Amino acid sequence: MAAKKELAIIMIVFTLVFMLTSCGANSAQKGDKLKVYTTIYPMYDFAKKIGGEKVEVKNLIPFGEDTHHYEPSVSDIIDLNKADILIYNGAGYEGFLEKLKQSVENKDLVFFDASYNLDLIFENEEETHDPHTWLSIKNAIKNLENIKDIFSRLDGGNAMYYENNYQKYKAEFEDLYNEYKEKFKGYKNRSIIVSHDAFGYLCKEFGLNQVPIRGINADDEPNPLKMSQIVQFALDNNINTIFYEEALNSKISETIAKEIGGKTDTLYPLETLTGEQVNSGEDYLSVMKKNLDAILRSFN
Amino acid sequence: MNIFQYEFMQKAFLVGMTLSVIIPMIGLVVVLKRLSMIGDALSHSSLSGVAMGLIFGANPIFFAILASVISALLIEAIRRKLPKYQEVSIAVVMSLGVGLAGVLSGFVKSTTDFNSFLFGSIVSIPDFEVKLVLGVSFFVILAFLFLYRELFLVSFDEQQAKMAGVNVYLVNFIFTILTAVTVSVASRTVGALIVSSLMVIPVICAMQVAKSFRQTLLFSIFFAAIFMSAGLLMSFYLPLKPGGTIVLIAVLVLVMLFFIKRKS
Repeated sequence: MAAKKELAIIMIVFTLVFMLTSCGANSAQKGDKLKVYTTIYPMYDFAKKIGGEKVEVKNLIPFGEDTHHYEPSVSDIIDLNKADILIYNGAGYEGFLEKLKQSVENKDLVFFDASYNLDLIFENEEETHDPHTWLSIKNAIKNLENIKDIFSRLDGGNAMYYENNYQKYKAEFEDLYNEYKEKFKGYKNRSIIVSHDAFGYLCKEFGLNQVPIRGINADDEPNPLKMSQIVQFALDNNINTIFYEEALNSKISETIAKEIGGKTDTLYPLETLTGEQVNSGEDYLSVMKKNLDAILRSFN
Repeated sequence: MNIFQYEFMQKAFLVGMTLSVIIPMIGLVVVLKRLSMIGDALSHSSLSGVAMGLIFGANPIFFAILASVISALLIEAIRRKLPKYQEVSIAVVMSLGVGLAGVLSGFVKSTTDFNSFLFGSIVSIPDFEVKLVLGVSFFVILAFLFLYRELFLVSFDEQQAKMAGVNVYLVNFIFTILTAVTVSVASRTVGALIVSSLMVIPVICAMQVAKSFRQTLLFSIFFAAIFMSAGLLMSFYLPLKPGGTIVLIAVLVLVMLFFIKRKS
């Protein structure tokens, strides 16, 4: 009797495992469009802008999820085995990349570094750099160009289409850049206090300084000494706005804002947008505009 | 540089001192009942509550407290079922809580990072949470004093407590709820690290010097208050993180007490 019972249990477990694994395995193949995967939101948006209706773009990290702690799932690997290209930001952003390269069996998959040929900001003398490269509009244009080049190489038949899209968006990005370059003219060397130091590229482009409350990885516990120094800095420099990112805990920003009698405001590092933001038609341009307007507001 | 010129340091001391009273109070009984890991288990189980709150669009703090209470009652139930292996109850419930949270988190559509919802930091406490901690502490202290004799008997020997006419079941039930509410509110405010360590270390320190239940209780509150204020002071003047500093000071004092005791 006991043996029968055990057998039954083992069979139930196997059936369960089988049911669970078979769920993810069947997604339909569609046409002969270029199948593009991207790692983070800016790459997704840029690939969509260049590829338009000629490519099928999917983002690996679900929108709204914390990109710093992403681990590829089994279904991600299965998806990538059917893809043509994975566009990643590079510049050290995707810590999971090596693991991914080893797990994917698809020999034809192109791993494409979108930050190829970018000007990177190096911190100290070391080889580490801020990976949030897309927050410079000039860099974003370079990203667009790189993506256009690789699409044209993989899908030569549509090269003209990709080129036209590139020219169109390049113009829009340059307009945004010129508009704000002008607006920031009077604010050279002004500082913004941000929750983690993701905005180095944006600040460099418009001649600003960022004062981060926390380090690059954003999950440190704040320390009171640092907090009191930031309060002092804000008071000394007439700063009344503490910026935070939606993805992170705003408690510390609010605590500091309260201390200086100021307010908090949102800056988007754009590494992820929520599903709602994407559905409501937000994109790189509209969110960058929000960022820049928020910074200008804090100076007045 | 005056430490109290900053509002966040005033709040840190106010909340820190209050928690130094109630956490060792709960902790003393918890340690005597051989459940010293319960702080960790409950604070992590609250995670599933946070996930549920976010999915249903309700207040995550409320759901976290609820999940913590349910987990604590489960621990109590398993503990009764397996009296010889009481500590497995904690492992089981912690696995359940973390597992559930992992699955539920897949359905949460907001950008918010879970951990930030669950675990706070002692130097950035919003006004609402200061009030919440003070309110909860008031009730915990009141309940503890009211049930002082019963808790004393139950924490040493449940059989004997029963014979002395104590309603063991009811006392355990009330204490379980007090523990759950304290752990979830406190870890949300100051972080799970501080909560689970203040629950145990000051009590062990007190046991090295005290000679009675009452003395142990008073000494453990005294030790907790010392660790808390020393940690906050040090982390204000040196580039140290408050949570870790408080815990390290506590462990250091404990080790020193062990040595002193061995010498004498």
